[in-house]
Amino acid sequence: MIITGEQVTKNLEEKCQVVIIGSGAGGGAIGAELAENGVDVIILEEGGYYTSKDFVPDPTKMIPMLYRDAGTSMIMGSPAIIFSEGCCVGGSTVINGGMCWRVPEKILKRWNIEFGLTDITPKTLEPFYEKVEKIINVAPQAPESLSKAEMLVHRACTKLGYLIRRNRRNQLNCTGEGLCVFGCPTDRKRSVLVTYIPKALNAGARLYADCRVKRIITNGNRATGVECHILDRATKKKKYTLKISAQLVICSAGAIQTPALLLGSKVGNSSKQVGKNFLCHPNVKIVGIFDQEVRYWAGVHQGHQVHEFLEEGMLFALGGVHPSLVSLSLPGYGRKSLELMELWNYMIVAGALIDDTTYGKVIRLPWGAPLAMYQIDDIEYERMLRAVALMSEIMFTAGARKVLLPFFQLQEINGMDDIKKIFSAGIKKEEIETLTVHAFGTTRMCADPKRGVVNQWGQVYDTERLFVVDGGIIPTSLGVNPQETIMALATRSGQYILENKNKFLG
Amino acid sequence: MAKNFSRGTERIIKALIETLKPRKPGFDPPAEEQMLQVADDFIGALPSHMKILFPLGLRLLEYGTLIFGPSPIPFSRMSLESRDKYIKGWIESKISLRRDLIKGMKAIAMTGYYAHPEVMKHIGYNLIDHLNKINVVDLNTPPAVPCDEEACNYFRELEKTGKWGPAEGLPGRAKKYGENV
Repeated sequence: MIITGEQVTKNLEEKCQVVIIGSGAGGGAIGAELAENGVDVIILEEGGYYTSKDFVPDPTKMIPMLYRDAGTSMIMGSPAIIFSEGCCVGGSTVINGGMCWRVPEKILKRWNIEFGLTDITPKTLEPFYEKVEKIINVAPQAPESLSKAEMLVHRACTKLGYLIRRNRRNQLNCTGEGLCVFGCPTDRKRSVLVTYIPKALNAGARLYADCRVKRIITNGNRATGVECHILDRATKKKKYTLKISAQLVICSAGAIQTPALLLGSKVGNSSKQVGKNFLCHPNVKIVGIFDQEVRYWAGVHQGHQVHEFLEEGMLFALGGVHPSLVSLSLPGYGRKSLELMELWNYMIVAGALIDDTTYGKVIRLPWGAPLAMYQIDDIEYERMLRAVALMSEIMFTAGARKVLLPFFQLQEINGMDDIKKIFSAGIKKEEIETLTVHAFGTTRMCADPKRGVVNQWGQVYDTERLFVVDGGIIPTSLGVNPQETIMALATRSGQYILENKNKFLG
Repeated sequence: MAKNFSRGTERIIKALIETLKPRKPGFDPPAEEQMLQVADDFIGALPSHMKILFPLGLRLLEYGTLIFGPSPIPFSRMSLESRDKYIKGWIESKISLRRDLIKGMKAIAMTGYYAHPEVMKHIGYNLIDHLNKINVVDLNTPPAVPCDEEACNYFRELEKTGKWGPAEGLPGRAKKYGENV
């Protein structure tokens, strides 16, 4: 049963065994795992409930509807990093590109050595990944769904000897609409909205949409429920209150919202690590301009990824998004902007995900909102320049005549010989255009309660009956897209709770 | 009348939209209303601290002419040519706050502009034709129509010859955990 804000006409009180805050990759997966095993679950989601019938290819409607703060969230720093996350039932899985990769083995080794997470190994994670991949239908793309741009870039990488991998995406018979970031209008992207949420609901879970959690209620050292505001969807203002008593509280609000909620509720922070260790995979983009028509948007978003430089902290992919969004990363305005955008069908947009080498933090502002801060360090800066240079090399090899760059001081280059200018132009860190869609680390797992917020099952150290199950528990940068790992860890936490019912639900 | 900002703020935003709007001789569609509507919607969705800071930033733009020139007239009352010069000064400023404000405003204005039907048609973004072409099968049937014939043939051939590369779950060169590749 889904209850939306407009259906609520009075203040409410509810009881359940488990209340889950957030309906995205973590909350959806653990919600289904618990509900299907007979647990009485309530899932709470701050955003609205929409289905594929509501999804239209219009950014002016979809971004305010599906994105937190209408996509205007910023991570403060120099440069500021534009941050996008979903705020709707299904969370960011509704608006992401649908990339599904398992965590690299060397990262798991690092978790073991640096954070004492000895039970999270390739072997122990395997069944959870398998389960997730089956539910969300992880598969490579069919040839029919790929654009000409994918072919040109694949040929270029092959020529350069760079490893380019078929992307693994949660999709079923994807035809290549290229509308992932506005919600898939045909349900071919198997987001949490169309997989885990229906499973949870069919098993009897209740879901409140338009519901913002204000506080986790505690009794002594034990979480006993949550206090929420039911929101008016249009104004996002409080209409009614909802109080839920539960035997177990699970936070799955994401690595930026969850720490603010824990800090505001004064729980979980005896290690002083809540909100610290923030990681975000800063991204940079370039645009290749070709003489031939490539229509890069006419095909799936990220059919391939370049994995040649993963070990060096860089992952590249093409991004097929709406002209409104591409225009933002192009230099200039007015006539210059139009003349560039008239080359729309001759463009290929590519982006690089940079593996973090530093940490930021998330603080809670006095009125309860989170503020994320991240200062790109010198290593990431060097990686960004290198990533832009390597992506430019791929573009020129693919036939581009010009590449537009994310640097204020050097806005374009016109051939292979110009690539060296990227390193000699005196590009300043603070003048690089950056963005991201990933967030981790702010409630990290660690075997040592002094260095982490949760144990390896997501259980909060200093508060009984409280779990965190979202990207925040991931203790290091992954270097690859995180949604599948978040779902696998959430499923694993769900199974741990089920195996210890007496302890957590008794 | 905008829902989410005052008349004073609306005047500044309208002047900004007029300055930033992409146009050239022979193509200047009437997109201002949509651009303003989108700005209104997006500003309404800003987080609470930004709802306070953004109008303050706009006031800095409006009256910053006293400090940054080219004339002491407020931004929204300048000629289009003067506004253009003034905005360039903000875009090229060494102060990141000035650059970021214009970047934010550009984002809001451009989203509305490039989502305008006449503009999408002008740049050749015929999405509906693409969707109609490829969506000829139901959810349970594999795609039947290539997005691009040449690309489809290229990848089919790679698949046939086993040269498309691995499709397993680990990133990079590894195919399975525990495998040294």
